[in-house]
Amino acid sequence: MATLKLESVAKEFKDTHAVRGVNLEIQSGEFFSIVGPSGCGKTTVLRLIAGFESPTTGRIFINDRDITDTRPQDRSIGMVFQNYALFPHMTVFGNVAFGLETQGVPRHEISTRVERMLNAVHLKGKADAPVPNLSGGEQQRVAVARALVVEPAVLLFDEPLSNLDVALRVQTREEIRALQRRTGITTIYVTHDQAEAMSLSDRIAVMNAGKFEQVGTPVEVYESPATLFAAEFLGGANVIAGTIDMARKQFVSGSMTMQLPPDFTPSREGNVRAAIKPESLQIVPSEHKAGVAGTVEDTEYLGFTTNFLIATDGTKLRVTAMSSEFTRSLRIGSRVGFCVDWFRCTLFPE
Amino acid sequence: MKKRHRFVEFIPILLLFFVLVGYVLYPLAMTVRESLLADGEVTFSRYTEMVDPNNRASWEAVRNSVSVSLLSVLFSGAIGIFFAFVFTQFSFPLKALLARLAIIPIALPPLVGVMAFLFVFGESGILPRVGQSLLGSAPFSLDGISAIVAVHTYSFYVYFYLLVSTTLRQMDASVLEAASGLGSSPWNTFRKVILPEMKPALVGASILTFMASMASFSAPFLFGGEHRFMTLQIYASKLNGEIDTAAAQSVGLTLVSVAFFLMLKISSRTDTSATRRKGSPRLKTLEVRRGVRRMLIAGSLVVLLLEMLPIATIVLISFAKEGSWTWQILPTVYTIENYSKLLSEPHIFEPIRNSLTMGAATLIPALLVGVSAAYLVTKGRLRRGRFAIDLLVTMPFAIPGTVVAIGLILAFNSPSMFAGNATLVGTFWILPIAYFVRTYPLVVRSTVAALEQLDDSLMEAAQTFGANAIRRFRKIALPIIMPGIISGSVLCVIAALGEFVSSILLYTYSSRPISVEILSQLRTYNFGAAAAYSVFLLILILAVVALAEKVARRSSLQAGVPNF
Repeated sequence: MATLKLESVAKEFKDTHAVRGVNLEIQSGEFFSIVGPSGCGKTTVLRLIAGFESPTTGRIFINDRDITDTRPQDRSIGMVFQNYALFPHMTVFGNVAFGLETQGVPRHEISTRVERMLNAVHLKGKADAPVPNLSGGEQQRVAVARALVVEPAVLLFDEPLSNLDVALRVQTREEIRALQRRTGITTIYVTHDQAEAMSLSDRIAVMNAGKFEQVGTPVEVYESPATLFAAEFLGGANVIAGTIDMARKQFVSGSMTMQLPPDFTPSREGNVRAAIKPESLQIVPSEHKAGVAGTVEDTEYLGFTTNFLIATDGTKLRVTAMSSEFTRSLRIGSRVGFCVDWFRCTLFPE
Repeated sequence: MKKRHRFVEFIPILLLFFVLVGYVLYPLAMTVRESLLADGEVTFSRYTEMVDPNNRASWEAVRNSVSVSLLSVLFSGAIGIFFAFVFTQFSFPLKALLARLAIIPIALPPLVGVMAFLFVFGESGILPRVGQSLLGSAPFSLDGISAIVAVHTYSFYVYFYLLVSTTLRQMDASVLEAASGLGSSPWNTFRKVILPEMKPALVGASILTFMASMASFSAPFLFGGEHRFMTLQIYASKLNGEIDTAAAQSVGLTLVSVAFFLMLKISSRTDTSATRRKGSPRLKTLEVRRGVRRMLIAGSLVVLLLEMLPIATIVLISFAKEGSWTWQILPTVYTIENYSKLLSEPHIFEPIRNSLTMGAATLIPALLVGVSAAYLVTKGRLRRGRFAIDLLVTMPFAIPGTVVAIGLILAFNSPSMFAGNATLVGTFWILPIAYFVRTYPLVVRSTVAALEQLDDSLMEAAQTFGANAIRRFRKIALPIIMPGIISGSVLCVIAALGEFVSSILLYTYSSRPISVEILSQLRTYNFGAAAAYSVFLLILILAVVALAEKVARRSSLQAGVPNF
């Protein structure tokens, strides 16, 4: 049980600013994710918290104790590495017991705690297996068990699921979430996968170019992105530049004109960039009078939903629609219309 | 915290610096100095004399050394590549055993190998005598250039065999499948895909073989006869008391070797190959007709048999009663006298005791310096100069043993600060120092290979669990790199136990090692005693190898073991 605080933490490497002044307060027991594209500095933030790197400026606190200059081995941190970093010359038991042995926990207590932990991650009976013999999913669970068994103040995950296949990734992330709820350990989770971040986290930080663009609950970040980057990265939003004309209640982008709903009050007027999520667009038959005309460029049938790429003059829009008789009838080259759910769009200044 | 780290790193750096400067650079500098000074004035006369077109002796030595080395590369390459293909591409009975036998020459002390060749193929060797008794006159016997090339091939094909078979084993078969999927013919695939993949191994093995042949001393020494070679010239100059000429010749030979060593370093630095990823298929067996396959296997069996023949002969001769092998094909009377004397008579046992002491005296500093140097090169916090340090640390490997000895003679024939103000020449300790200089790069090389396998995140993981630097090194790093350290140590000890090339220039009677004693027994025609010493040496070496294997397996190796 611990709180974690970062105060304007920055890290410069030789020729790059990996982290540019990050502020963060994480509550005790919170599950916090940092999501962003590769190279945005999210792993560096994690390594700064772990103490493998020391910040160029700024301070880091655990439970209001300044640990900026504390060595990694004295920080009470658990970490699950992207490549798991299991000790290849030890058995599963040896790996999980390593931390407890280092802390000088008595033998009999070590074996009971390790056993309990291995049960929790469904690795009962694998205690004596050498780790190189395990499958990827099993190795991942050993890594989690190894980090959790020492009951660290803060648990860090560095893209722990990126080496697993899709089905296993979903299953494992549910298990991680359950374990975290049960133990209540403050957790920071770094990933480039927004679905993973949203499904796991109490709060998310969207990170880009060394900065936090937005911090909030998954719903906040997804529904009301604070920046264009957040909108594009988390929601995969289409961004269209245009003008809001309140006199005519219209949105004009090039030669394309869309009617705004009568009860819609936009957050800003004039020249804007509209971030429109694929599912906030609706495909309608081309003769539909409310719709804007376009051509189907590509379709991607996913069963329950279907993704379309619609070309309309100048821009291409990604659209996600629930599959129906109508969507199944569409072919590449079909003429369609589409309308925008303006209540679910975010407007940014030009 | 950073400051402390630097300080801890400072001690091995200092040690390394002391060793490199005192025992490598300073002797080299003294050699250059000796080659340039005459009565206190700088002169290039020894060099101009050396390269004078009329100096036929000098040019003959260069010509012989270079042509023997080129031929050695050619033949070693042919046999080594052939073995690599046969042992990786085909399966046949006893393959594992035969594959182990195939790397034995690397453990054979050079002098012992040469002597064994002398017994089997030499002018009065067993096979020529068999031929003579059957046909009336010997159909062949190896001497001069052909003998030296044969011995070199015997000793150095292992470089090709090991490097090429590693490449073949690591080659990603899906790359070949992709090539044939794109419509490439097998020949085209071999030329355009397999051959470029093998290029680093071929280049590396060629350079290693060339360097080793240029530096070779034992084979020209015993087989050279009237022919001149660069290493022999240095030795002869030293024996004639012309140490200045020997110094100039040493500088010349070193320049050639170091040039090739630089080529090796640079070529291996830019080595990119499509090694297997996890899950990608291994190279499949080459498809050849059954007849061809049988021929290849039979051929390799014959070669292996020929390879074992010298060793078997030495064992046989070691039981020969003195004077019972003069003109006969095989010795006529057998005895265990040679061995019982070895253990019972103190002055006969002395060389063995010397070699054992020197082996230990070589290994301990080689481990200390080698492992810390390897750590600095791979994991040290050096921003720049890593390549330079790596080069400097491994360069002694490129300096021929003869040159090492000349350098040490020139550096330590008067009291020196690097030897605690003692004069080392003429003492026991000059020998292990020479062995150390020649062998510690082997420890560096295999430890570096092991450290490169050691993922930094393992150490970080251990750190999150509260493990301090000592515990991290002892519990995580050491067990993982241990196989590498052990295999480096084994190579180091093997080389030290059988060292001959620098010993012959540095020994005194009381400090003579086994190899020098073998030579003097050979010179007085005590073949049985020479062979018994050799067999004893071989048993020692095999024991070291076996022990290391046992220890290494116990620490359950997961990391890749470097090849040599």
